[in-house]
Amino acid sequence: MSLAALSVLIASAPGTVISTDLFNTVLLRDHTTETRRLAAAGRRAARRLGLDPAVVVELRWTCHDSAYRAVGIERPHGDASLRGICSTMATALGLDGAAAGVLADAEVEVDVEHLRPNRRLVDLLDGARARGVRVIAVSDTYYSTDDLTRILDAVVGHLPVDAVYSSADLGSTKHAGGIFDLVAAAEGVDPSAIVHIGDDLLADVTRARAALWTPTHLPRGTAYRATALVGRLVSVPARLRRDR
Amino acid sequence: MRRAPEETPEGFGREVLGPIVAEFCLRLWALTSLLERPDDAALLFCARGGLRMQLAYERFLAATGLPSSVHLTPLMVSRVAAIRPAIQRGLDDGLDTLVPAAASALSYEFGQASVADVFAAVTGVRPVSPDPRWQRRFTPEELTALLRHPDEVTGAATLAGQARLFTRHLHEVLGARRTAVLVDTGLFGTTQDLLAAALPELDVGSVLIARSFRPGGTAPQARTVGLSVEAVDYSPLRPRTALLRYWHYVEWLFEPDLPSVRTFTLDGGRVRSDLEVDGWADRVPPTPGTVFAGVVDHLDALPRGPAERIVTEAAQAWRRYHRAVVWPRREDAEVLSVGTRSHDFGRDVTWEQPAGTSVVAALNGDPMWREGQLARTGSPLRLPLLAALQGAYSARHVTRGLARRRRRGA
Repeated sequence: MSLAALSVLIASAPGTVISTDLFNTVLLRDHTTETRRLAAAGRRAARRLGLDPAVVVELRWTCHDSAYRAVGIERPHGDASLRGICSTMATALGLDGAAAGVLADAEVEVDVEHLRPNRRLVDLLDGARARGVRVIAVSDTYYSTDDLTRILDAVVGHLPVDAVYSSADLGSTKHAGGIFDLVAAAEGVDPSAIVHIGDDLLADVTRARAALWTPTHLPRGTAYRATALVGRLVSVPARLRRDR
Repeated sequence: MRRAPEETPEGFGREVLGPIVAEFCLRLWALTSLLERPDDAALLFCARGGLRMQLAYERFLAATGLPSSVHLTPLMVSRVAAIRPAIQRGLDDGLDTLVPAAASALSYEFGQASVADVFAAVTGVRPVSPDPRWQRRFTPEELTALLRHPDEVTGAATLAGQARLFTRHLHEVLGARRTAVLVDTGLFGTTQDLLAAALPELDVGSVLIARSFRPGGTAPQARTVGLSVEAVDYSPLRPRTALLRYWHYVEWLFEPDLPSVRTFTLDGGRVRSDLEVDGWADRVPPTPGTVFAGVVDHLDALPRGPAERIVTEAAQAWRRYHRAVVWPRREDAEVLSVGTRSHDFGRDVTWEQPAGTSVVAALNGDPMWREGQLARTGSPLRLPLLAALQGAYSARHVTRGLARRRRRGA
């Protein structure tokens, strides 16, 4: 469904709640890989904390893997949390909670630098909200709702949604499907009244449909896929360092 | 001539393996600190190797002061002990075959053995029936049929009783907790597969030093992870995969001089394994002068807030370990010697470290560590032969990778 068709659908169905994915839907990533962004954030935090950047980068990758391994073992339908990762890093380094904050802040800052707003979608969401339609964001991410709000503000310039739901906070994901019922219950609406927009075919379309939401697939274009491929090639040395 | 520190077993343990084990402990701690419900989880250190892994981890926690609220306990287990409740579940459920985890494990371990041999391995009782059918090659269906055969009630009852005792032992060490995280050396996560199949009411995960993937095994699970290495096979681009070139060494390093767990008995209301011979706990701490003693020395000397030191030292240690295993000199071969190793899984078969010193003998057969065998010969051809081996492993890594890619694309 195109954005124009989506606009018509919203206008013709009063009482609809619009839900949107965030990353690569409202917030468009550049060509960089996660491995590179984590490394950049680690180096930035290391400078602020007076630590060896190589150590912080390595530890960040280690704790990232540990967080998702813990999820896989303990709660396969849940998600990791950036605040937990940074707190573990700080403790391992013999540092306090303030250092964990420095690590997490660097990560949010670096991510913001590699995101740009999807202006057409933001305009559509702003228009819907102006007409009284409730707009929410549902994201599979290790960021908390507070982090996501901060990122949205910084990248878009304002908050284009009424509420933000994070899988890290809710302990349930779109990929596993459990988050949809939780969000519908929190919103107090029937699942069939929610139109969900997102780029991921499994999480945003298949799982949303299974939860009786109305999904709208909004994938990134060919140009992005080409630049992302270049980004992955550029990141090969970092990937090899991470795996060695 | 005075030897370099890492040319003695204890020195190698302190300088090379100590930092590697410290990195494993840091990663284990990080994983447990990122659990959401640590009070509901227990780290079950799997006998035999896990007994020393628990000792190492406790020394790591004591030295570094890192906080941990996850319960730590030994688990008296082996693959043969773990497979019994999995087999019993299939029998109880009325299946005509084994549950997939048990079928996969036995097919891998006993691909060429007879049904009768496998029956004897898992029950500890030789089948009495003379039917030639049981001398045919093992299949999961035939083993199930033999376990249900009216002539074999003794073996079947023994298996059922052992499965019950082991399950009781597991629940005793786990307490009221529901998340059982097995900690073991490696390699395929078979024990986790088996216990998850046998005890679906528990969340069973497995944390290994190295995780590889068994040919024809059940699908890789996110609940089994390799903290130091996760790889299909050795890759020249990843020094830490050298662990997979000489896996017996890692198992030998951690295994105390105790028998493998095979059977359980009830002793004063408590389940007791045959590993728990008199004074068994005294055999877990390291003997002075050994590699493991060096490892523990290194752990004891770690500072508070240890991550910076561990990360720095581990990178260097992995390079040194890779060099010693892939390009060994004669002194490396001596330091990394392990003697005899058991196949286990209810059998008495062993791997031997060949005593021969000929290059031909080193290149033949299936030694535990071919590079070490070559180094022991003292041949002037050591370097070119090691280079040829490295080339062969590299080619295998590439061809296997391409084959996997083709299979995924098919």
